[in-house]
Amino acid sequence: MQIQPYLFFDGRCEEALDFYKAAAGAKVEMLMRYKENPDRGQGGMEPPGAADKVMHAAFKIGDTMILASDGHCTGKPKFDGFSLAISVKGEAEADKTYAALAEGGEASMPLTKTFFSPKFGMLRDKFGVNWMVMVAT
Amino acid sequence: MNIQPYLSFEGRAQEAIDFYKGAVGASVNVVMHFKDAPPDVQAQISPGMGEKVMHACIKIGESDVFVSDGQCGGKASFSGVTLTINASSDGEADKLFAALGKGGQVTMPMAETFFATRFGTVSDKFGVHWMVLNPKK
Repeated sequence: MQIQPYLFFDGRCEEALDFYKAAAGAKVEMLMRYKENPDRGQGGMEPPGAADKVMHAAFKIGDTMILASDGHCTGKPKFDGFSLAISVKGEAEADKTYAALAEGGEASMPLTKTFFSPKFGMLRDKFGVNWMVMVAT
Repeated sequence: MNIQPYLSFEGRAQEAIDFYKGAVGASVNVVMHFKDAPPDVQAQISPGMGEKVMHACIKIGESDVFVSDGQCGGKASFSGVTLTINASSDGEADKLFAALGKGGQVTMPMAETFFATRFGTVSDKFGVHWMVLNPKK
């Protein structure tokens, strides 16, 4: 039994996938658009005008699978109450990952030494997803 | 490199951990309370937060999920994310779905879809959104 976080980008999913490819080395393993839904037209959840939007995607960052969708395509993704905690191997990788994910976003807590990690920081990326970047000890 | 979802329960983390133990068989790897943090961290927290959860790691199936009381704001709010839980049989999926939905709200009742023999969505009593499925092989 496994648990995967599923993120809703409300119309910006593909943009987000491209961003995570460059920022965190994400590999897209699967992507299905609303127009490819085999049950299309049977009272499903396809928002108007969303044929080319992402119904479901799966991407891998490091060893972790993350799922993503454009969901209701409201145009305004909103993320609240959670972060993605990304553990990296060394301080250099932490610096690089933090800088890349924060580009166009907001550094809510710059990387610093804490009692639990030699480098830990928090940021909100340009899509509003909160990340914690840390060197695992 | 791996990524864990980090949920902020704003004061109800311990209650949530106990709920997930019963509902999805979560086991607790780590619980650290604010009162156990080093003095410089404790100096920054509000009075009455000592007994609250600064950081916890629980294991559900093979996946680690992080939990905290965050800022202890009193009202947790989760948006933009769903936790997907993959069951290995229809029976297990039904059982997990019923347990997670106790005191919460079913947003999509369990049904067969083109990708799963059982699929449903539910918000639990803390407001965390779940997808429970038994994927088609």
